[in-house]
Amino acid sequence: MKHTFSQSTEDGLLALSGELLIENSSELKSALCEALASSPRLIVDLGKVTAADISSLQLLCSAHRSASLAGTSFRIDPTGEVIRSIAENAGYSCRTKGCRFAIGICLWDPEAQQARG
Amino acid sequence: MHRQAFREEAFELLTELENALLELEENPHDQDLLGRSFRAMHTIKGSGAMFGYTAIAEFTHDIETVFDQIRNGSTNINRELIDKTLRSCDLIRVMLDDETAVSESERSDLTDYFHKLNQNKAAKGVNTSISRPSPADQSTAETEKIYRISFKPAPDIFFSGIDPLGMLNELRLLGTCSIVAHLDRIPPLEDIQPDHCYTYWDVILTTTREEHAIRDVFIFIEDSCELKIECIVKMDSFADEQVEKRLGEILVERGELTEENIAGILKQKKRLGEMLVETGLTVPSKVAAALVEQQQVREVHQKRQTTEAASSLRVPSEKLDTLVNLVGELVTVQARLTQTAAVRNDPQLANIAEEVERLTAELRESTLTIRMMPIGTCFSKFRRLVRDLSAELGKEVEMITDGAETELDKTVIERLNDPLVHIIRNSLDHGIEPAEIRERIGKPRHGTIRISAKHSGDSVVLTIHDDGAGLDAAVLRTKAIDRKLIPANAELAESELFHLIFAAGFSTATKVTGISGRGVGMDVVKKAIDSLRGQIFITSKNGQGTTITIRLPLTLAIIESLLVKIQDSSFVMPLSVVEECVELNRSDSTRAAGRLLPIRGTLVPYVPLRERFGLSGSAPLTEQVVIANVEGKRIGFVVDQVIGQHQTVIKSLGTAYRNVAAVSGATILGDGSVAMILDIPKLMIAEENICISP
Repeated sequence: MKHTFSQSTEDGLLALSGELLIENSSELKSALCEALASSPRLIVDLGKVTAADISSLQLLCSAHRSASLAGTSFRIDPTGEVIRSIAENAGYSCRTKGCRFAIGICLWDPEAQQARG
Repeated sequence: MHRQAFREEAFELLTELENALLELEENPHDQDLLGRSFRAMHTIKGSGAMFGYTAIAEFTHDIETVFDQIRNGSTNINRELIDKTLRSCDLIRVMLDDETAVSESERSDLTDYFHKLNQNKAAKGVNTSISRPSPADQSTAETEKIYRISFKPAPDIFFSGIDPLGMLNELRLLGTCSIVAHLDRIPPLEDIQPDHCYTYWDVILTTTREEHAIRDVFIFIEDSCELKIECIVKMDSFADEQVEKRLGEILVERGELTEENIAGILKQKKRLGEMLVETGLTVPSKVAAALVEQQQVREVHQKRQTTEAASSLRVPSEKLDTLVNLVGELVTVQARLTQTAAVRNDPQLANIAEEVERLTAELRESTLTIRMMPIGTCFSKFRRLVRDLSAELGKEVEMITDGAETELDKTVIERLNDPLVHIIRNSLDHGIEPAEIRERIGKPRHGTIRISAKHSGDSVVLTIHDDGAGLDAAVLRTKAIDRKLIPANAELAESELFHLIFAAGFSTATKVTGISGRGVGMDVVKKAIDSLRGQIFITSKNGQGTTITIRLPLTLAIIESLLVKIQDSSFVMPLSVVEECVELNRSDSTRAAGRLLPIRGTLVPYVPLRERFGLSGSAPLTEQVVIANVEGKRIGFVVDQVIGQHQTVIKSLGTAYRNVAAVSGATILGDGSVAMILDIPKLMIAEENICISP
């Protein structure tokens, strides 16, 4: 797994690539924590992710929750084919409304993401 | 579904299976074809057992297993296997009519073959990943059930190296799956243990498999996770269930309200799920899971209803025939009503007559469409024929079909089968050369038979083309003289010589084979096509192949036609060949040199039908010429009067009229009189000595 963080005037961009698997889960957690702490508007780029499992989906969800609690904007762009299909297979993208932690928009609802993006 | 319905379904399945097998021979790795073959066998076996066809169920058992193995890649498909399976299909067909008709010994070599294949696999220790239903659960094998699976893995599941995603994917393989992940336990980032699993799932699975198959997916972690599997709907129970209608639906049905009214009101009201979430009684993912379950049950129910509706369309063909006859009678009576209304000059009656006319036309249209079937049903049988015959003759022949979706009256298709079999046999036996000869003369080893069908006006044109040796006009001539079919000094055009093969007792094969060459066949073909009011033509190029073209009417029952009159006699001409009507003044006809009529710059020959039929009386000053077009050739028929369009119910003429070439049948008109149906193509051939303009 590789991660780079860059900050433009408004948005912070966390670009993740490679394998987001259980063995890198601690690394992913720290990367997300740092990025959230450094930017009030965070975009996570998952376009170059080549593999993922439930642990990484959970971490992304968790980061979304923390961001909502802290009033930080958090979104994924682009989701990338790998993550999109894993989220779908794992039943993550099958909801009509967001979770109660981040009311209104779900991280995994492609339509809501699109409308917002 | 009762026994009879099963039989019909089984016959269809066998045909489908046969097609799939023949295609598999060419594409042995096509998973879709393998799946189709397996499913066909599986259904024949499963339903067979359910309806008391025990022998069939037993017989198909091993074959099904072999196909399951092929599907899983543990056995390979080969020609012998396809041969044996095709032979098994034949036996099953016989057994469907009478299970005792095929004795144990007759099927033993096939049973042994498939059994041995299975045993070999078992001995080699090859295990199929998809388990075959045991005989005990055969009757329930095809019953779909809906399961609700709640799966909550232990938080430390990742430590054991297991990804729950893999299990979800395995569940997907069992049937139709809707998966909802519950994410409400995932804590914010600061509290999360990245290597713990917080997600849990609700899965709705529609499958024919039993609960233990689902449990097997979780076999390694069952003790450490929370797993609940419930069967929420068994498809059998749908049959007795009266699905309750909602109030809104009933009001819309009764016409009290429109769907828009209901939608408007409902929009103001919050959905139950939203209200529950708002009050904090549940979380959105739980509502989503319940909605997914509701949706899946509904879909399965709808699918079942559609299947039931479709199967209720099976109607015995005799009932359809009666219906068509009745509609025929109705059309005749309606014509009489219209005519009576016109004579009485009663506007009220005319109104009714008009209404009846409209309804009758619609009824006629829809009745005839019910009888239409794609000709492909007939083609599929020929694939098998070509395969078996080419093997028997040691030739390599490929069959290509085109236009299988072309629809034709059911009766026509049924009666077309035998003539087409004769033609294909002839092509294979006499036409296509053995592979070695073909190679020597620079043709591809494989011979090709191309059967195609297409619509053309109110007819269907079928062509059967082979790239074989073609007909040798000189040989035909000698043979015809030998058989005294033509005088030795006869001067015949090539096309006339080709047509001789349709003469009784004519066969050019020097040796009699079991397939063809007995001299019966092509004359029978011609008679059969004639009886279908069709025409048959043959063209051939020596060394390059033969093409047989058959033109058939779309239906044998009712046609649209043009009613004309000469003196007091009425005639009808099929509207499909009529191009236009023009006037012919006596001055024109006397002035013109020869019987040719200028129509937009082209001279079209015409035939005065009064003269042709030897009718008495004199022609009116202005006559009408009906211009007909048959395969691009135009000819005019002169009549006294054109009455108009007419729905003609075709009645066949007695044997006394069999040799009258100019008429193909008769019809009863509104006033009860009879009108002859003119056979335009035959009239045209008879007048061929007139130069026909292109």
